Amino acid sequence: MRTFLPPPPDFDAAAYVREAAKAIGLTIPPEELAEVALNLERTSGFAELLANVPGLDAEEPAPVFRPGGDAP
Amino acid sequence: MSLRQIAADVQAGRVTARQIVEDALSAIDAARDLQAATHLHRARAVACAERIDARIASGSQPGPLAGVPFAAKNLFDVEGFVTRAGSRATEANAPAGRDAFAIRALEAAGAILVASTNMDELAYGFSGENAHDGNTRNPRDLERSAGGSSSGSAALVAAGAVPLALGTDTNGSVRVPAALSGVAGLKPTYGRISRSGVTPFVRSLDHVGLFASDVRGLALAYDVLQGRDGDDPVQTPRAAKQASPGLGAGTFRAARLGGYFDAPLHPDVRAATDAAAAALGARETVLLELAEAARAASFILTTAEGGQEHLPKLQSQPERFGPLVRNRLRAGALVPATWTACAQKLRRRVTDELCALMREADILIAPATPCPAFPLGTDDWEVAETTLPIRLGIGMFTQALTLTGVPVAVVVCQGVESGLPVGVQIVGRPFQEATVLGAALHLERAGFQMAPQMREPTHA
Repeated sequence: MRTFLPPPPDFDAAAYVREAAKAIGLTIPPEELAEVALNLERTSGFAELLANVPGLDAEEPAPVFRPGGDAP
Repeated sequence: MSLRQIAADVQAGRVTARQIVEDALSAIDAARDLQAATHLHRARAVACAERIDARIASGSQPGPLAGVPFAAKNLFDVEGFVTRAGSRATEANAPAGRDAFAIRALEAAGAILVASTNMDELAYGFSGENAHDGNTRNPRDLERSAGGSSSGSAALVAAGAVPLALGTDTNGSVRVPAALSGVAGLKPTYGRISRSGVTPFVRSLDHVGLFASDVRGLALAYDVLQGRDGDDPVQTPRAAKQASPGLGAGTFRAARLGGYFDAPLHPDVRAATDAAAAALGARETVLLELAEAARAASFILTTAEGGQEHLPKLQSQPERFGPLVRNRLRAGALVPATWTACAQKLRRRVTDELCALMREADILIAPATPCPAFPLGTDDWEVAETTLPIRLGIGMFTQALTLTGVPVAVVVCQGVESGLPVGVQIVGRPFQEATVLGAALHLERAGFQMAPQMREPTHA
């Protein structure tokens, strides 16, 4: 059994973290960037697993917004 | 004493609520080496007990939980206190203006809040390790994890200090500590119990849950927690459905979840799951094909929503987050929308798959964790020749089911090889908590219950 799932091919987590953090106003000290990138890379492995589930694109997502709540 | 014994004795006037509260406070004090409680609500608890005793003296009954002392994970609001959620990032928040709904519901039934409890910081973890409040220790073995994130709540019940405690379960934060500490636990259906007054972690997965010394106690407390609350837009509009009346009287068809849930398993966990399946007459093993993908989707939603929840303070005060959560939350805040969109689609599909399996079975049985409690401070831990990153891996079987929102109880027994508790998940259909608790009671009668591990008072 694999401990962690492989990330998407060619995904450079450190470069992504460095740039995307700027988009949301998140400052990441240089000495912590590698750990943030490692965590995101771990998540990307899980995302890659989902990307390979057949036919998921056509699925209706789970949350359904109900205007007015669930009252009959 | 069990929850029901305490309530019966207080109602009958055989003991005062005041005495019960004093005993609980002393027991929590005797158990302080567990680092399970973060605050004792002594004055409030004594005042509450005196009100209950006065009502009984005047001939009225305070409710089905009369005089039952309980603890609440410190992400439940307690009026007048800052809800820290195990973090320093929350310390500057205003004190809570009122108690969380779940605390109000229990106290309206006569129960008495005595303590707030330790937890993984911001509920992001399964180990009960906390950089600010110390690591929760397992009463069964002080060097081991009590499980998390509702670690202190489980540990206080396991230590016999309180017969009831509130927790929350997002990916297994009630089920994992119930299994590792050796107590009964319940994660009701998503949306069943109001979350108002509870610090959110992952809004699409957070549940209020509970621990008790026995299954009937769980059912009694669950019944009073179901009240309708207009302050929680996520709560179901379905009418409350009491689990206690006739508990365990019905029959059910049980099956066992195999495949993903079959490895890696410590021999004690395998033996417990085998025994539970045999006791419930589960001859068939069924496969949830999307279990591993469901676990992946839960992981993604958790990190992404958790990151968004705490983004403002990650931006302004990152130094206030402990090292076990800070960079996980930062990474979560950066998750691409494509990944969460896939996770929500997977949620729909796996929920449909599970519901299809449950057309043939009322109850599904699965291990709660791959192994018994692991030593605190452990990164990697070997289970059945597989090396798991254990702070994450301990929740692999609970996290795979959480996405579907179905009710799950955990009952425990002592492992023969390890001597430690191991837990079994009892999975039911949405809003069929009574069936789940009925099956749990059946297992409890078949030996799935561990006596509390009382702490001896220490004298300075």
